[in-house]
Amino acid sequence: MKITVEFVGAINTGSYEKKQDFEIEEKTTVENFLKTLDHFHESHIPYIQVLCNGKRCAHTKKLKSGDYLELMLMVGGG
Amino acid sequence: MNLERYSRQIAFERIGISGQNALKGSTIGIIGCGALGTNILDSIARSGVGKIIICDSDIIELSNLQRQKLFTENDIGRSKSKTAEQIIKNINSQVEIKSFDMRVDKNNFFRIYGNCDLLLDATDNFETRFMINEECLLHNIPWIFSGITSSSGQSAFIYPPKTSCLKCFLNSDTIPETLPNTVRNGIISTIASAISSISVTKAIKYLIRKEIDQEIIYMDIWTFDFKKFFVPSNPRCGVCSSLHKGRNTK
Repeated sequence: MKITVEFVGAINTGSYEKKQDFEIEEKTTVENFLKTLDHFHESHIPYIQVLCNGKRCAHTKKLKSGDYLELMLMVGGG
Repeated sequence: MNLERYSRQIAFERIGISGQNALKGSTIGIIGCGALGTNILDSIARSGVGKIIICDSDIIELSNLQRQKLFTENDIGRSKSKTAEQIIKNINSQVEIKSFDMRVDKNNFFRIYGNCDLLLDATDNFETRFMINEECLLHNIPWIFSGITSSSGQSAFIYPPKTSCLKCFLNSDTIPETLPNTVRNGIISTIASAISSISVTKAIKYLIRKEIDQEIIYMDIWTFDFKKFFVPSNPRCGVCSSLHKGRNTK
């Protein structure tokens, strides 16, 4: 099934287009999808906020066909 | 209070004279005096809060001047907190400001910030922020989490149970060294002033009418992306789920 992902801000390190479609398996969770992405370390995942169809969702959420994800990495500089 | 100084702020109907008086009666704590801290300090002092407490153990370096807006070349080598105190006194002599040239930790947190009406995070690492999260919960102090790196940043008002705590949405027991930081990934100065402005606006809204913006704001100033989202409290949060039960909020 297809989902669309937008990489917002610091998470967009260039490996992907800012907005890109992905083909994933049915019932893939947000966390498992994040683990397939290659431009951040898996240890960063707890610091990634995910909006699914405009609403913040937990990483345990199961994705559906047509979902629109916005990924944001919380940053800690000051 | 010199009303002429604040005449334009008082004319802003959402603040008015009652809001100005509320600011005058407030005590604000700011942890950190870097890019976020200097921008926050500048704005909050000019707005007319009554008292500011600032803490930072660093000294001013040349590379700071690109984004730490209070400091100049003449300040290199001097204490950030003490220098900021002097500068703020020149900006607004009506503000009482107390500075600490030290690193805040669990042992000194309450002694330094225990009487604050609101705390503004301007630190540069998650370890300190997680400590702030726990101490503010313990002592019932609302705080505003801010963070910036490269061209991105976020601002979140944290005051359980009205909001989630930091651990509700950053549920990690580790702080990876590979997370983006300003040394490795750089930073544009404008994100510091942008996120600081958002956090100070949240602070002013809380101080004048106890209004809490529950949404986290995330922005990228290079792409002009701007996102707002609500994070519900985690009922299984290891930090706030037990601490906030039965507490009276301010």
